[in-house]
Amino acid sequence: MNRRRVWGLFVALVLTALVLITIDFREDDVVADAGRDAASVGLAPFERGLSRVVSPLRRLGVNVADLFTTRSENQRLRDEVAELRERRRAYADLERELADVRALLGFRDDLGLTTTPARVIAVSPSNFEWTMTIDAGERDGVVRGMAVVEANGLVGRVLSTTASASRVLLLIDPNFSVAARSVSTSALGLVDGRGSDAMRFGPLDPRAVLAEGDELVTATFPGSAVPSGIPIGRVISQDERSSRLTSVFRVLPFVDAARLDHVLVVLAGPAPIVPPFEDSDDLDDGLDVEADGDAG
Amino acid sequence: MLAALVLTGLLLQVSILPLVAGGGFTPDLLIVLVVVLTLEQGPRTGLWVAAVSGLLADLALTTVPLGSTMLVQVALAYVIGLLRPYLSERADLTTAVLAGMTGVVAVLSHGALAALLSAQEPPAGEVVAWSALVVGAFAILLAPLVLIVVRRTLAGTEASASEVPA
Repeated sequence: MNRRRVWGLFVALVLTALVLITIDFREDDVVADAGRDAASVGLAPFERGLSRVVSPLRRLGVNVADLFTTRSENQRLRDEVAELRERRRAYADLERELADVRALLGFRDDLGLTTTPARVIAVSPSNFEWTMTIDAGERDGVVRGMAVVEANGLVGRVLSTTASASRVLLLIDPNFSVAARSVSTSALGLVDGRGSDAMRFGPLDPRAVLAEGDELVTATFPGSAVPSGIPIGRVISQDERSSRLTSVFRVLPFVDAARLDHVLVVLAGPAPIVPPFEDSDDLDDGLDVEADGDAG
Repeated sequence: MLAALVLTGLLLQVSILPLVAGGGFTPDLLIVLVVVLTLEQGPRTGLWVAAVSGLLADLALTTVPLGSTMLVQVALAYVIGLLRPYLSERADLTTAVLAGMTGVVAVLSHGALAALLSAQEPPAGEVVAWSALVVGAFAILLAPLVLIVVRRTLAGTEASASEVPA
């Protein structure tokens, strides 16, 4: 009996709810609006009273929430700043590297050199030997004697090679020597390394006069793997040991051996402007004909 | 006394409980009250409380169709009333779990009704699912408190009624 009553009540209430929903869906819904207005008016005083009681609690809640979010926000921002600083450092490093590589490629294109790129992977720790190791070797076409350059000029010469690396004798090493030419006077001579001291330039002509600031570039000679025209350094003064018979000049290299990172190994110099003479088959043939004619 | 409980529940629902909203979802105190009163007082009381509190909630809110909360709460109160004989008396943990489950079903039912009845775009399924889980968790937490308040209030009422001379 009780169950039936409950069932009856349930059905009645469900029907009431469905009727209310139907009424609410009518466009001219006066009853539902009136009910809502009445509820709003009736509840308003209670809501206002409770709001007054609750508002300090609400503010406290908001403040506490802010406290937690401020701390976490602060931590998040600190992390972000640290990450951005790290990125800025990496970015600056990449930017410098990019500038180096661009300058290097520009240098190569200006001189018309055929090169292979390499990175410096080790520098000689000795104070009496100025060499470095690069990550290009025989596999890359590098052979002993090839010139190594970077954007500012000549770096040195390949001393020895393995399959994937090469040792380079730097131009400041006392064992380094290269034919050079003064850009302003065209005076030819030899540039020698002097370690941590300035390099020396000895012109072949002892009467050659070079001024401070004169630039020296490589000069080509038969058998040399160093192409002509690669900047070496700038004359800074005349050496005290100069005499009537010999003149020696102190030269500061353009390349800073302590700051080398990317370099190029010169596989071949620029194509010659004047092509080499070729054997002419026609000329030979002509000579043969003439010889035959003479014989005849 | 039941009317006072329902009215208090409604006022708390519209004033304080939005403050403790978790992840943007407000606890449903009224459904917990319906569950507790149905289990404590029987299905008839539960049905009446469900109908009245649902109707008042519909009137207090303007975004849901009038009668929809009432329909959901009445249906759930009826189901809980059917389950009541099979549950042991004063099983507080069972009440809390049942309140949680009812909270979940209530939110899902509201979502389904909104999808069926609302002219606007219904809430996303993911939002409804999250809301159901949060409201269910809140209902489990609120159920013991509501149980204590309801039992004390009703015990006081019964005590004062028994003191009245026949």
